[in-house]
Amino acid sequence: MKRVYLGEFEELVLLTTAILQEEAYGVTITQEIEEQTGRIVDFSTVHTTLKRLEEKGFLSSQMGGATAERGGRRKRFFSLTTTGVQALHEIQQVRTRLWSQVPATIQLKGI
Amino acid sequence: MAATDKKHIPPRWAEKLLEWYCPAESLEEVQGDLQELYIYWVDTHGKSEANRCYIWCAFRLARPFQQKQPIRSHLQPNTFGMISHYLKIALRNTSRQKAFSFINISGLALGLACSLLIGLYVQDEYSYDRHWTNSGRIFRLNQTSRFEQEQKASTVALPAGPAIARSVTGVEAVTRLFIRSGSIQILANQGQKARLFQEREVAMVDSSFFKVFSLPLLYGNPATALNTPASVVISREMAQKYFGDSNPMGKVLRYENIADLTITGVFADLPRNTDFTFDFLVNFDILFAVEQPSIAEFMQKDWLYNPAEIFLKLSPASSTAQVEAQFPKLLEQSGDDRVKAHIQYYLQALPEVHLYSGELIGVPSRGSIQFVVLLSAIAGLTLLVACFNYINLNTAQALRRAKEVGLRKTLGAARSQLVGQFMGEAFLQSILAFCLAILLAYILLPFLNELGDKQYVFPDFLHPQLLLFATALLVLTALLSGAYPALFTSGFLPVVALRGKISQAVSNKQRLRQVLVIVQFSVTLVLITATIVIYQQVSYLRNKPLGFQKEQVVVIPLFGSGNSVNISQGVDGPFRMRMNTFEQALSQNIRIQGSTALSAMPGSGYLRSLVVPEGYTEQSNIFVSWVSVDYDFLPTLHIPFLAGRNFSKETGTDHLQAFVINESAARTFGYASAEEAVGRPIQRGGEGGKKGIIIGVVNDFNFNSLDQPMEPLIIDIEVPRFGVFAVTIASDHIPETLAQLKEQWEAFFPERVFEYTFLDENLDAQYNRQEKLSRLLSVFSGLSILISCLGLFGLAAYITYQRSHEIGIRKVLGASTGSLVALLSRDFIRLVLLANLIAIPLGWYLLHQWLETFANRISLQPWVFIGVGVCTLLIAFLTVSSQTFKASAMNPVKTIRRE
Repeated sequence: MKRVYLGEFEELVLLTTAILQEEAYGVTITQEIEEQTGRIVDFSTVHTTLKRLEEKGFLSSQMGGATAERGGRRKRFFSLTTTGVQALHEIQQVRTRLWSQVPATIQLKGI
Repeated sequence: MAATDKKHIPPRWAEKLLEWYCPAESLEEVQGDLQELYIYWVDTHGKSEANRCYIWCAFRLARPFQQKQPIRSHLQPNTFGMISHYLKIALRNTSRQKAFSFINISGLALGLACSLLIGLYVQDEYSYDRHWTNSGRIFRLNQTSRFEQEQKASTVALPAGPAIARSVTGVEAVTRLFIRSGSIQILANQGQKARLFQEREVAMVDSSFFKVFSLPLLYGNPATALNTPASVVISREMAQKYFGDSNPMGKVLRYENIADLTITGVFADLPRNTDFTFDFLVNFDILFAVEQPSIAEFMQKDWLYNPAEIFLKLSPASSTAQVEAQFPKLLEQSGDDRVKAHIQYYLQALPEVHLYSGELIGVPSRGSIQFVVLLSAIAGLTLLVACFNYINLNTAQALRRAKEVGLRKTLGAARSQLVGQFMGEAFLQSILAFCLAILLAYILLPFLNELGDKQYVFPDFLHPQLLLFATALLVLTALLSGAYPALFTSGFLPVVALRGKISQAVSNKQRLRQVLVIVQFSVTLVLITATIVIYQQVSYLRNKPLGFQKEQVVVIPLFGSGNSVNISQGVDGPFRMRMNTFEQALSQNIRIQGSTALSAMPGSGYLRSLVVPEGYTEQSNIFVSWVSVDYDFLPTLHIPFLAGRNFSKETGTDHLQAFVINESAARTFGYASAEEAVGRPIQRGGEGGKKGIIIGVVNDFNFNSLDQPMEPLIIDIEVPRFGVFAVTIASDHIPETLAQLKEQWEAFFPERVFEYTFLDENLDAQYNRQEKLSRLLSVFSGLSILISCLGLFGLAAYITYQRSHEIGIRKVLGASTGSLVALLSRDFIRLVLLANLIAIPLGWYLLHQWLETFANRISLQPWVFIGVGVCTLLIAFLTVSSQTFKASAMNPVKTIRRE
């Protein structure tokens, strides 16, 4: 199987999308990341990352219904594909495995 | 919008920006998201901060290359598809209208081929002598002399060279250049027999020659090669000719059987585009070594005798004005009042020597700016005539394309697109024509070589300058011939075009087409008339009686080539004796009618000499052409006497003090009649010159080329001046007579190569340039009438087709074929007649100007103009009637039913 390459920010966006579930679109994802990590995230960065993840096949998207607050424009909702879910799992596994091999002393020092 | 109040509206321009670049399929969501965020930002951070954020994001989203494969909407134009579509339409049109396309393309191709060939010629003419290192700093010293008339010469006096080197500042190097022919003997070494050659191009130069001209040496050191009078530098070609592949350095050549020259260098062959033609470079002092001491001294001191070219290389900092300002002072060094009073020096840039020396006497220039300008004009005109064809035919054809234009416009094509399409078609046809033109030019190249005495080969076309020129030509042609039809055709109103009412619009453009046809035919007519008149003038010059016998005269170059030492031992010297016995031997041969020696043959232009007739002083400055002949010259060439007698050996003193003058001289000197001139005292040369009396007056004969007026001439006997030997032979058995002549020559003059020419051939050669012009013009006028008629043919074919309906109706109503042909041809004939009205005065004026340059000229005859006009009318009529006749002979049922 092809190796999955995910950048740090991509991983973040992917995870946030997973958290938000049905409510995942540009604005909510941006705000959620800001809330969860405390870092200032640019919308345009999120937008391009979402596009890229969709191109890579980790996300799929569909247009939602129009809302008045957006001037009648529709939202594009994102959801994880199976590849996306798999990729997240794989990353988690790798991390856990790595963490499990780190000696305890360093863990303490690291903190 | 209802929920968003005014403060929640983001900056409009940022939104526009988004709309502009954002891919259509994600625009909605992005705008939505940003709108949502904007409301949030306004609520949390305030309006201005929100604006900033919005704009920032809008810009950040603009990443033009982020999207790898832009997905196009089906509404966006498919440029590639359209181009291939246009191409297809263009090709279809071209192939459907075979006749028109043929006329268009072949006409353009002919015009382009002419321009290409002439472009090659012009480019080559302009490249002359620009290749020397620092050729911009090299100048030739020319002189203007103002005696009885102003005369410019490319040659100056010999002492000027060293004088400039000595006393003119701002000159880096200076060299004299004097080309003479001479005999070159290869000395016998290694027991071989000495071989003898007659070489035409022996150049005497100063040792500083290589400082002026960067002529690369294959062998030898340019700094020292010519330092001694006993050295010679030869061309690679001569080295090959004399010594084969072996190294010629150090070998010895004998020049004029007087001086032994050691080869100290070999130069690479001179480039094709230079006016220098020498094969041997020798030290200038050789000239004085081979001449008689008194003549050598005269040459080294006299500032009026001007036989040599002088080239100066200015130092980088100095200007021509600066150097020229020093010339009056330089001329003062001559110590000769006449030089100071009447002679001026000026500089001519080396690259201009080739083309701009026409009016200079001295070394003949091989180029002519008039010729270049004339040829360029002809090329331009021919191309113009071809372009006019294109414009005419395409405008006429516009009708056929009207429906297409209407349809395209209805479907939303912008005018610019249509112009693009038609221009594209013009370009396509131009490119086709261009390919054809290159092929044509390739085929015609040998012809150009012959006319221009050039040796072009095909790769010469690939010269970058020429390629640039050709490309520019192509673009220009396409623009010139395509723009008008394109603008015209694309301008149809779709409604009018689709309804088929365009013919009215087309016929409104009749005026323009008529003007173009008139211009075209005027150009053609002028070219044809010029061809005929120039041909007449050349044959007039060739056949005009010259006042002496020119047929069956064999001319053998004798001693003028620098070894006058041989004959200068005086009238009774051993050489003169040898010549006398040779002439005696010749007189035994019944096929040899006469023989004589003289300084130069008629037609070659004579030296001018100061002459003081009775009643004048030296200060009168009368300079008259002068030829030195032997006793039997005048009878040998059958020049009749008006009064007095010929030189006679019996008198005994004729070679010392007798002069014969021509009729013009008698008139110039103020004698009432030829008889009166006989017996008058006269002096040739300044103080201490030859004094004598006039013993005879001869008829005027053309000793100059015929493009110069008849001038006074004095004739005397001065043996050291003899340069040619002339023999008149019987008109039968010429080859045998020549063989006998050669045999006898070799017996008497073993040290000289036997070379001969015929006098009439030499004389004819003077008119080579005019003849070249006449041949060239005949080619171009032929081409021009061909192109014009092609155009006329196309136009006639089209108009006839257009009026076939009318023709049919007329026929049904009883019109005869003849009357129909007349009806249809009338318009065209009228145009050609108008062209005649323009061309006749124009041609008359131009040709009159040209003929003015000849002293002997034909007068313009009206019948030439009338004849050409009638012929052109006839050709035009035949061209047109071939079409109209076809149309009027057709069954009217067919043509009427068609609509």
